[in-house]
Amino acid sequence: MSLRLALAPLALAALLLLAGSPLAVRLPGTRPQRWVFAFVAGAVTFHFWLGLLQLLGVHWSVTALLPLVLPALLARGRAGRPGPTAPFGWGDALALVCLLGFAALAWTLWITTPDFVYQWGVKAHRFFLAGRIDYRYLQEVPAWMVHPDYPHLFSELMTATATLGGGWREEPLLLWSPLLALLLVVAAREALVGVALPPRRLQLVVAALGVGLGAFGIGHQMAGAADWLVALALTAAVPLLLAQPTTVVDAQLGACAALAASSKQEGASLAALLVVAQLGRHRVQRAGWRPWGVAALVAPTAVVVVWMRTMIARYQLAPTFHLTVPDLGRLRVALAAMVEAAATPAWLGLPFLLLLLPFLLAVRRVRPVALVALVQLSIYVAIFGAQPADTRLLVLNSFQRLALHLLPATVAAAAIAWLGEPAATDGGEATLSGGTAGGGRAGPVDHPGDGGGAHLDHLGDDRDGDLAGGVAADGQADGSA
Amino acid sequence: MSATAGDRRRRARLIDVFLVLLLAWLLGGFVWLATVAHGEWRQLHTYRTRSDFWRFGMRQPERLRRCLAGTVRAFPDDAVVYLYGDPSQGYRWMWATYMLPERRVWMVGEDAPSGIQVISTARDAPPRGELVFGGRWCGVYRLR
Repeated sequence: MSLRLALAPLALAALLLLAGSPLAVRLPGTRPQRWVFAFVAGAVTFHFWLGLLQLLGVHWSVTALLPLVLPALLARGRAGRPGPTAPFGWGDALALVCLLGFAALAWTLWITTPDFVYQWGVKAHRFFLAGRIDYRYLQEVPAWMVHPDYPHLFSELMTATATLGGGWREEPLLLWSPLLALLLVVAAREALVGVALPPRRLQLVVAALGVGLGAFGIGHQMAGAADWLVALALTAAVPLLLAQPTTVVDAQLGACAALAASSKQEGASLAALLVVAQLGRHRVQRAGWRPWGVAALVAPTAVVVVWMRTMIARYQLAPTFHLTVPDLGRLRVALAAMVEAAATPAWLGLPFLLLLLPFLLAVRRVRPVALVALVQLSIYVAIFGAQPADTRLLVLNSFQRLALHLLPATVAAAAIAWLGEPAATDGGEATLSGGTAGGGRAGPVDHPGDGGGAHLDHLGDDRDGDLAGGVAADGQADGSA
Repeated sequence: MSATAGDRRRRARLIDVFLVLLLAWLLGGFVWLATVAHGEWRQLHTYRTRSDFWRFGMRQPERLRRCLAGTVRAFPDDAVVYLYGDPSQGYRWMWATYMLPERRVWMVGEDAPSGIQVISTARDAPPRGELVFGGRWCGVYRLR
């Protein structure tokens, strides 16, 4: 395999980071948080760009992809100073090693998800050969096989990877999954940095998340699955759902919602929930409405959904699912099967952490995250009960993957809610409101000169003036939840 | 009544112990799952060999890939490639579709129309089948 092929996913990832970077560097947040958001915004921009090329009848090629770097080249204005992040620790290293193990096994193709063969990969290969979305092909193949009505972002990522690599080889395409898993862990980690978890706990949680996701990726054959994208959309939204609702946060959440809607059908409901949750937070917190904020929140998802529905109608793509009214009998079967699926060896019991969601509703500061995840989970249950199919088989074939959408965000929310140490009064160590105390150990935030005194500073003020208070913690950083 | 500093320390220690145990459990699970996957990959074999459990590199899909690569030339470029078999073997057809992305591949069974050419990877020729290319286990047959 040529070096060009092998490096193609990294090249595309860099292209997406560049595409999203002009916006990301102006946002408050830590540097890794900006990478995550640059990727999210870049992926959405990429999806829109390919849609535009499709509309104009331009074939997808390396040249056609290059304009994605234009925003980075043309961007003017001063980038905001990134907020302080936690130093790289043993937990980060352990998570990285496990995700590298996932990547190594993905490279062997042995842990390729069957859906790559049946759906994502076959569509991506067709698109690669056609140089565009091949709607004629999608019309012809049976819906139950390739899900022609599904969003195409993940297939597009693989098509563009093959285009940049100059040929079709599965190995580099499958690297997208460990890459997305890495971004997921980074997104969760930085959400925790934002609330100043004690360093040892931060490292424990990051390590557990990385090891757990790596194990699941290997054990459940998750190389080449699109579910990582949906999970990334929700996890990247966690700090945003904790922050004061502002125009900047609206724009970021709008990108996360659009990423979810472009990734999978399940992502559409998640996108709607993220948008509704943010609108609700504006109302509850009386944060005021700004037309630009509402537009930035709603428009990206609206464009994705309208474009998708238009293409489905225009090409008369067959629907994948036929839903009826949820049936009580099927719901009972579904719940029992969900427990069975959650106990799959590949997950090592982690999906049972979703049972924490109702309890997280009681913690005010993480309530929006818990509410979104819980309603999304309820939607999955309702769909299980509404599909005239073998419910048990349906659940056993899908719930393990669907749990991935919610689990990293749930873990992050639980850590934020319960793992921060209350302010110590007797010479304890790092606290939620202060970095180092008494014991003299370094706080979780690597911010020389600041003494770790205000972990949440970076969320509120990028010292740019214009975004001050952009994503400030909502006044509960002192553990008053 | 508010918790004392001692209570808080005990609670914090309990949480830390829980997190350490959780991480140890996950780490053990990771090593186990990775070892199993690596071992299976070295042998290119799992205990489940039905087409819905096929993986890249396994003998069965690789045999199908070789057969399709050798027989597809018997079909004109724009013609549908018919794969003969039990319609319940839908996953085998999906693999064939993946392996021939530039072609339209359809699965046909006993009720296939007369006159079409089909690829069969079975030991026995399809009923009504007349071998036109290849041989047993991998041949192109014209259905009478």
